[in-house]
Amino acid sequence: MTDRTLVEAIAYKKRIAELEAELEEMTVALAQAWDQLVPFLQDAPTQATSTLDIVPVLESIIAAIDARMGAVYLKQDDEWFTIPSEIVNVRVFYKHFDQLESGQTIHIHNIPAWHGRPTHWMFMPILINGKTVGAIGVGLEEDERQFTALDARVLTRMTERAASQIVAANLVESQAREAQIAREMQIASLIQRSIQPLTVPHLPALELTAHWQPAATVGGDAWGWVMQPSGQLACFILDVAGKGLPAALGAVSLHTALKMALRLGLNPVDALSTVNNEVYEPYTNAGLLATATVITIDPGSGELEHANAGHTPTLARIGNRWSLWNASTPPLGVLPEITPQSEYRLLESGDLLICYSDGFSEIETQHGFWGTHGLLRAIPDQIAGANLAVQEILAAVEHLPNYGAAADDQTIMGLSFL
Amino acid sequence: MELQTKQLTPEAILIHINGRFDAAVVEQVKRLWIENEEVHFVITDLSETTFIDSIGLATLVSGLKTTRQRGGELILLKPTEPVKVILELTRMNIVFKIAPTLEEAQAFLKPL
Repeated sequence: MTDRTLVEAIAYKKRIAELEAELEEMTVALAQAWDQLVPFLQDAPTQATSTLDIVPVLESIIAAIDARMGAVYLKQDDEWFTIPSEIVNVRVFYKHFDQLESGQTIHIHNIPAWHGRPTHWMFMPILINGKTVGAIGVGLEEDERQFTALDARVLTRMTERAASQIVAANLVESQAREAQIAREMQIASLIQRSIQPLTVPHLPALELTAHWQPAATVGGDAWGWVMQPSGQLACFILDVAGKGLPAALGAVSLHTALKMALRLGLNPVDALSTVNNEVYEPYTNAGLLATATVITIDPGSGELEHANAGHTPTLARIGNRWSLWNASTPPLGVLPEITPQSEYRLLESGDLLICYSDGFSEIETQHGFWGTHGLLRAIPDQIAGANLAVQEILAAVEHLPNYGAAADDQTIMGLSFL
Repeated sequence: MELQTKQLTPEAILIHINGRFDAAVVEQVKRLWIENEEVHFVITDLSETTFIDSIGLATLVSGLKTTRQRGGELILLKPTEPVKVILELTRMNIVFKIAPTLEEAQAFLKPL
């Protein structure tokens, strides 16, 4: 070995010894830092919804790395907390915070503190799913030591802990919100179910029947009947465009309005026109529209009046011949005033009417939409009575190839003269 | 469904709806006139619209009311047969201006 290589070997050996000593010191420092963290962290909440919840974490960082100051910032509510309180004007940090988006630690120097001396700060972003939601920082006076790699390591790990506190809080909050929405939907569903008739009128010459099935917890379809002061039976079916709560609210209010109008004795045309006047403005504001068919019938004579505002055609079997009674005016809520036209008939024994929502006609089959023809085909030629006809239609739907759950609300109402 | 838009004039847009016009697309369509108050005229090209449901119809009505409040109009362009049938069955054909060609649709655009 030459003298030169011998000198180099001694130098390397010395350097290795120095590094080993440094490593040992760091290990001891790290162990001490974590020891100091433990009591603070035992008191730290597991969820954070504000900077106050993150304060125990901040205190633990300050203690662990022997900093003079600390700050925690949450972006969503532009909320700050500093230790000591208001030690610096936190607004000065904002111009540096663009760099937080990189996910790296940032150092900010010469920040004047209230005691008059300049300070320097080390901030670490609080990241959730790669997005910066805030930051935690620690500060020292400028003439003190510099932050070390160990300080940065402690800050990084503790900021990750704060992030997990926020995630846990968000989860609890969203679960509570979901539960609240589910409760409200359940109440809406109960209200909506309560307005659908549970019984049908028992009249010697008439048979009224219906089936109502929302596609989700609540829906935009409804049906109803009422006896008018004149002794006529009035019945109706309605469909508010859309699904969910807005459609359900629209359906409940429209059901009430139509029922009131008919209970007061209005004929189908006047009932639809009057109700349209009332719903036009709220429906315009809410972006809603509704289709409806209203029928009144004298149970004794069979004298019938029918009006349809934008609803699917009524299937009418009069004297063993089927015909379609189409809408004579656009749906409710579309125009400020409507003038529906009436269909008048004198029903005879065996005559049958079927009103249905588009949840039936728009069932998708292998050959396109089931349509009016699908409904007509489902009713056997000589079937007697509305109830049997509606049951046949429901059975036909169930037997459609590849038919699963209904994609839309389904309501069907049948009326026959016996 | 495919939605394409074209600015015809500073106040007029052309919307082309290819496929189904239903709940899946209505929010996207509504934003076109809700978020831009400069839009006074909307020509809705339904020449490749295979189906429109009640939510699609409600969206068109909402657009019609919005554009008329601004002194404009929403015009339906060349609806396909299935869409035409639904417009007729619901009597919405009397509510909208329906044009067979783009030129005729553009004739409804008037200076504000």
